[in-house]
Amino acid sequence: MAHPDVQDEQRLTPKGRATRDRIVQAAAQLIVTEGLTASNMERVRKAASVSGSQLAHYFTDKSALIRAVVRRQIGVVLDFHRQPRLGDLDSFDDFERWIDVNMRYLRRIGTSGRTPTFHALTAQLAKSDDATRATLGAGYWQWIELLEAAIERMKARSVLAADADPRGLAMVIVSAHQGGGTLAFVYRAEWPHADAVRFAVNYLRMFATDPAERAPRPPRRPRR
Amino acid sequence: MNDDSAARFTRKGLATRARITAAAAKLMFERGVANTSIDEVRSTAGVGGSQVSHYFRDKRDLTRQVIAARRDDVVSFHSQPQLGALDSLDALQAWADACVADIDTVYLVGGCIYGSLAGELIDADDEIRDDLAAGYDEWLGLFHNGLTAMRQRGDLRDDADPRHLATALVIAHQGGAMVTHATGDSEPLRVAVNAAVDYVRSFAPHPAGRGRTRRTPKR
Repeated sequence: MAHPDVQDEQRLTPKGRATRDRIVQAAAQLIVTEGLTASNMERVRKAASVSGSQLAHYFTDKSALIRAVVRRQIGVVLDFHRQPRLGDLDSFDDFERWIDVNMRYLRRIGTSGRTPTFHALTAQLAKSDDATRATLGAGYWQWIELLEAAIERMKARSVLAADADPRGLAMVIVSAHQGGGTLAFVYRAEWPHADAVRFAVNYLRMFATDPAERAPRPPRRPRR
Repeated sequence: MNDDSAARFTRKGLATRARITAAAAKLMFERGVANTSIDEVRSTAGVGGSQVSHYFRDKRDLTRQVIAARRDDVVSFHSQPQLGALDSLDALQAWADACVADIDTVYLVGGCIYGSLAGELIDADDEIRDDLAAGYDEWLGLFHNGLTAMRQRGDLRDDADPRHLATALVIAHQGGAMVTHATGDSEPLRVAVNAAVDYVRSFAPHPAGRGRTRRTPKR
């Protein structure tokens, strides 16, 4: 099932992997700042301090490099959801912490629009070519499936009602997150993301079996 | 968007300028801002090269006109008669349905006409991002006005926060459009806009049961 790009990745030695990571990071940065064009592949090479032949060794072409950037970033997103602080992400308390860590993460990266978050990569790349869009889409499905499994566990424990649709709920949470990130970067402000993640968790709460959990929590008011 | 430059053109000139802007908007929607060249805009609009430079200083200027045109498109979408003043649950549901009706012809082709432009330009200079934010302000304002009227009439409880709910509606749409475009699957947008409307509905004084119109079949 592994994509040829992924097989390449798995064959590497630890040192090779580190070199490859440097290239991918440099490319990620360029994609969100000025776009990755044939002409600035040279800048990726310099930023990663590798030779042209090394670059060609790791990535046969620019599209393979772009796909690697997208896969790396969805890995960051999935790891974010698996951080110990979030437990198994399968209780309302876990989801409240998910709101907190999201806002803390946004505060850390800032709203300059120059961080290669997943929504920023999607916005830059979704119209480039079919293979890249398919990689972005696969990333979204992985994210949706992670949340779907967590919500499924909440349903199994009857924290959520029987009519809760874990996959639909997962899509709502991911969509809210991506929309909130986009508006936060446009406004260069945190409030859109605060409203987005609050909406996502309050929507999940609408399916709580416990009436006390079902009540919507008020949105926090960061400066507007 | 303040656009002093328009004043110096004749009516015919303005029509040509609008044709060039429309061609640019179409190309940018289909292939992105970065992948749209002035040359392609010129040939799509069927005008000479000197005309583009007559009407637009540079690609950045043209991009700003496209943002303004797309902002108008968003406002006219939300001004369709069946959406009323976006000030009832039925009108909001009609909005979600209207978005869903455009999935195949719009969202699967290039995402949201406004959001995909905004997303691509989030690293642009402050002036362009101010243009984009002003468009979102206007869009949020349409929902905000409707939701405020609903609360005043008692269609929504006092704890309903029109600003938060307006933001939820726009954000659900923007993120749903993004995920639907990337995955090539209509579900994320469909589910997201319906969820946002159901969220508003949950603030009705006597909610008619959760998700009256929720339709979330398994993929």
